[in-house]
Amino acid sequence: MFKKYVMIFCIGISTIIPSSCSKELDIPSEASLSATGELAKEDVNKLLTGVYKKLRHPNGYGYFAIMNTEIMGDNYKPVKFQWYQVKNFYENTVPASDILLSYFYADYYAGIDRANVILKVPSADNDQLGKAKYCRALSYLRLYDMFERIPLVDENYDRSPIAPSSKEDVLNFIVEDLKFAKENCTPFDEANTSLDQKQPTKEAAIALLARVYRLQGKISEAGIEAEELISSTKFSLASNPLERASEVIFMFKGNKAEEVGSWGWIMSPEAKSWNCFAAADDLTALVKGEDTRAVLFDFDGKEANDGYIYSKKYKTEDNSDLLISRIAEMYLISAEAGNTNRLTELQTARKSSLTLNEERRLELSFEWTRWEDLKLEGENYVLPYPSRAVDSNPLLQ
Amino acid sequence: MLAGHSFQKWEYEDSYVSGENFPSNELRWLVSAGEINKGRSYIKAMSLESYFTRMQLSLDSKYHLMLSTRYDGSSKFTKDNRWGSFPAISAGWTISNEEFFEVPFINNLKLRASLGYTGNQTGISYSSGQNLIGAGENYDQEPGLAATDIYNPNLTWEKGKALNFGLNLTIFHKFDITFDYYRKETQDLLSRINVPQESGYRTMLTNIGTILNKGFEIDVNTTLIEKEDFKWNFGVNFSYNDNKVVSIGTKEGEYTTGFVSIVKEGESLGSFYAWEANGIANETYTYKDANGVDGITVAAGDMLYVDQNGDGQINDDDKKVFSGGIAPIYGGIHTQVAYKGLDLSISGQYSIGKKVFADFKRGSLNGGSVGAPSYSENMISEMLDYWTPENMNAANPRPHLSSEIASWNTERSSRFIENADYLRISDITSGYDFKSLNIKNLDIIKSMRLYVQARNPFTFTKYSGADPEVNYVNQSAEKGQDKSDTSKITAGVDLGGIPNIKSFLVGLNIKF
Repeated sequence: MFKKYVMIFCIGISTIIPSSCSKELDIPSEASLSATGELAKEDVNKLLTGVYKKLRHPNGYGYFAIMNTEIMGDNYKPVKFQWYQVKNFYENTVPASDILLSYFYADYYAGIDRANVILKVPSADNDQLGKAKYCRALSYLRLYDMFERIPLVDENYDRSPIAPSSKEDVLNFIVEDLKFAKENCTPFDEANTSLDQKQPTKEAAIALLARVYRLQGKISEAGIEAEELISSTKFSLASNPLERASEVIFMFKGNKAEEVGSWGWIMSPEAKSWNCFAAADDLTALVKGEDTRAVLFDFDGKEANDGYIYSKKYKTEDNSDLLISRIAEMYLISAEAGNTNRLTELQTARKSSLTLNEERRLELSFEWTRWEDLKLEGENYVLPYPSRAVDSNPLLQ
Repeated sequence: MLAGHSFQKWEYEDSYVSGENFPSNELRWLVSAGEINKGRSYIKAMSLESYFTRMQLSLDSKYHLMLSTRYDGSSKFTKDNRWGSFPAISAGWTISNEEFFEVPFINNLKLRASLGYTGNQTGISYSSGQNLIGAGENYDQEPGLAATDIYNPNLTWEKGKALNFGLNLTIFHKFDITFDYYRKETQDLLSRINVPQESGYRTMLTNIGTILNKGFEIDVNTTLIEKEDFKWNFGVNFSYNDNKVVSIGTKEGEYTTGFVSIVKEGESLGSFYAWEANGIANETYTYKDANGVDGITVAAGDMLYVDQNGDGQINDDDKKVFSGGIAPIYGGIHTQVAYKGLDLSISGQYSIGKKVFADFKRGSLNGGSVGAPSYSENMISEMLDYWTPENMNAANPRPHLSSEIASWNTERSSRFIENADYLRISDITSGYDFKSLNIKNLDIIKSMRLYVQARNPFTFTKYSGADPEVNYVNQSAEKGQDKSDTSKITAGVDLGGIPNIKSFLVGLNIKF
């Protein structure tokens, strides 16, 4: 039984504010653009810039991503492995769980996604679409070099699990993208070299097409593309291979302010207490007599550098350019297609007398082509799919 | 009865400029830099609006009921998913006020029960609810744009459901005891799940997964002596928490994060994922796979790790989960004594079952070269006990200038996991109020207290690092708007940060 009922409203502060601040819950970003609005043609150029950025510097370990197949190949002589992951790449014993491996896979697909975004923009013009397709093709070529069979995602991909395509289909896909780029990209303008060397052009597409035809075993088609570039006379072999402005068809431009380009650094004695690579002995041994390519290697510093000879191809202060295509490769491809005079012309310029294969190795060292050549010669190591990628895409088998 | 409305807005801006190539070490302002090579400025903002109401009823000082609800809107979600409603109910029964209750030594006995829902929107980006194309994706100093995250329009509040039973008890007019049992389930965690990497992304922010916390807390406070001139209080509390990741909503049921942390279904938050150290090799040791084929070889004096999968190799597949980054048992003690004008208070806290991954020791026990020209980091004196053929029972492997060997010997392994149970006396304060002397002509002063204080004067622990409390994570969710429980995930990793400092103070308080 209760004696009395007492109801107490303990806290009596009542502050009902009828007005609402709900509009204040919509805060437009001042640092990003809305993706839901219409994209103008100029915006597509900015998106293309975003693709170039990703391809030049896929991630914080970009220096390994960029030089990965060179590490897997035979052009490097290791000075020091700070990380066992890097050693695994060098020794071709990479486990599927390797963390660097997972970066190499995912971040090339990030570049592909950026290209695919552009391919869906209605206002993009043909030149812009061509540039995007060139970038997609280049990304797929890099993935092909590492993994061979890879899933092909295009602009209609819906982010669901996807099975890898055959090697042949991957190369065909790349060729189709490059053909489109060749037809639609603005031609290289010699009056504007510094701009056109750092973005994809019709000529950049032709050069890469020649490389991929060669991988497909279509050497005569490759030779035709190569000849088209040589005979255009827009590019010429430089007498000093370090001053190569006339040779470059396409490269990603390094820029110190953007903290990229450390692949030059890991190839220099400045990195010798970290993960560091010098040039392989049998590579430097190809430089004989008066060969003008002697300037590409630090022969003079051999003694000071504990017997190692470092490559000087790239700048080392976070500002390395990343060479993609040079006219010298076209001479070598054309020579391989039967135009032997092109080998003579290259050797006259370089003052060398190596075999065609040796010329390829020396001329194109550290330009992501050596691994392809080794595979054409029978190398059969293929990186495993990263377990993180398989976990989220079970069809990746 | 209470009803209210609140609106909060956070804005965050930062900017920096960096320059190099200064003409002299004396000139340190950017105006002197030969090259201004980097800089940026940035802004982000978020807001939170809430309506809340609470009603408390008390009947006859015996029956208590509280109902409350809040309705919160966050700018971090889309318009449609922005608002969440979080009600709570609690009831109490003060048995000791019932007439039938006649236990002379129990002065107060109250039973409590509550059920409440909470919402969390911290720990995610301010702009999660917007489909954005990010800027700053630049190439050769041309401005570039790119989407850098998958937009998830369905993102909404993370929800917690907490059930609590408790009692308050006072006995002999001396001991106040409270006991609480709780079970809190957090659902729809704001977490990142893996997406096919062919999409160009690794993860997507989504509402998925469940974490369960259950445990109990006991708090005892007692007034040992209460006389006019002499008072003495003592209090102690004890908490036990069992924390478990119930699901993270992905097929793999686990993900790694931070330097050495892992979130795995069935394990606690604050777990470490590392190799299992197996001592130091006293002679050359070759790992073998199941068929007896030789794998890797470890030289005498170098670390051995357990080859969990028996394939003769030591790699990421051999890592194992170790728990303990968040202590299951923790609590505090405090006591206060006052005699006339003199007072003394002591408080402390403790943790039992706590483990710390002393990550900083990977550097300070490295023993190898780390830079050019070769030099080594400063090492700690523990490193003096290193392996030699004459000192095979050493605590540490051999130092070696080869960074390859030094890296192997300092790979993240259970070698760096230490018992970090501790008792810390966090505060001792003693003071004297001169007013108690009744000095004449000082009526204008109400009190004049001179005190000495020692903060963190004593810590009792076996942990060899600077502070067993390192990265101490409050058991309740942090209130910061872009911090959250995720800090628990990497709890217990000692990166060599600044420890709690010992400090000694002398002060004078005068009140007029």
